[in-house]
Amino acid sequence: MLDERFSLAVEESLTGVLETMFFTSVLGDFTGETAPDKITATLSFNGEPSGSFWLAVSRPLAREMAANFLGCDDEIEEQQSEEVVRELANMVCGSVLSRVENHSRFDLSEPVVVQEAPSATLHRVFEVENGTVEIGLNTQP
Amino acid sequence: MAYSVMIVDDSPAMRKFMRRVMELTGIDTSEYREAGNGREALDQLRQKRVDLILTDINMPLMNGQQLIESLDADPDLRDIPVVVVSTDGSASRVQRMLDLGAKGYVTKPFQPENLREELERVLEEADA
Repeated sequence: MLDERFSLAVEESLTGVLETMFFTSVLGDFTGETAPDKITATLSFNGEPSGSFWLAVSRPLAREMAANFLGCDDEIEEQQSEEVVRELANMVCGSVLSRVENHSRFDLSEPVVVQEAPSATLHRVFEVENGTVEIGLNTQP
Repeated sequence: MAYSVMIVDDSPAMRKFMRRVMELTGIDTSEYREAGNGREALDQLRQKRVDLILTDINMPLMNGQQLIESLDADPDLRDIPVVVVSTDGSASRVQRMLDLGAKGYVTKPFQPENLREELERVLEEADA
């Protein structure tokens, strides 16, 4: 059963990663309907605990984040946006696991972009400047 | 002294980001080289050494831990300082990498100042 630790760790991790690596910040929880056009990356993790994680970024925000991350003033290609969302998922998931279980090692699979976000026991949606970031997380019993 | 640096990460975006952040640290760098995994890194290093390696852990074909072990087993390469840059900040992982021979460890996400401090410490030790 996912507890409050994971929910808090998700929020703190996303905030930390966005502020330090993407030069943007979380404005708060988002309660409206998210835009249908998103880039979703998912990965699994093995350790204590094991489970799966996904993260979805609205497409215009993903382009903006890719430009910030890569330091590009040029037009961002779709492939670059996807690559940056995969890296964001990797960093946020790693940060969540480090916060929840600091003494256990874990292995993350390579993040992949998927069309549909899987279902998740823990699901949170955050408002970020110019878009939303959704996060889903499941742990194995 | 200007240092030659190799960045080993399977994500081209992360390699580009690391290079940008390296430039922000102000550490004098003569050359950047990149590899997408440990095997590519070893192949390149056997042709031409660098002064410092920054490596991720989770990579296909040869991961960061295997890269550190392979460097340590090679008399021509074992003295190159390696700094691990990883999302895994668990205490046991950090200790494991340091035990294997990594000289530094930076957990993602990080501020450029954190990377600079760690690299300066590692380079100072290597130069001593």
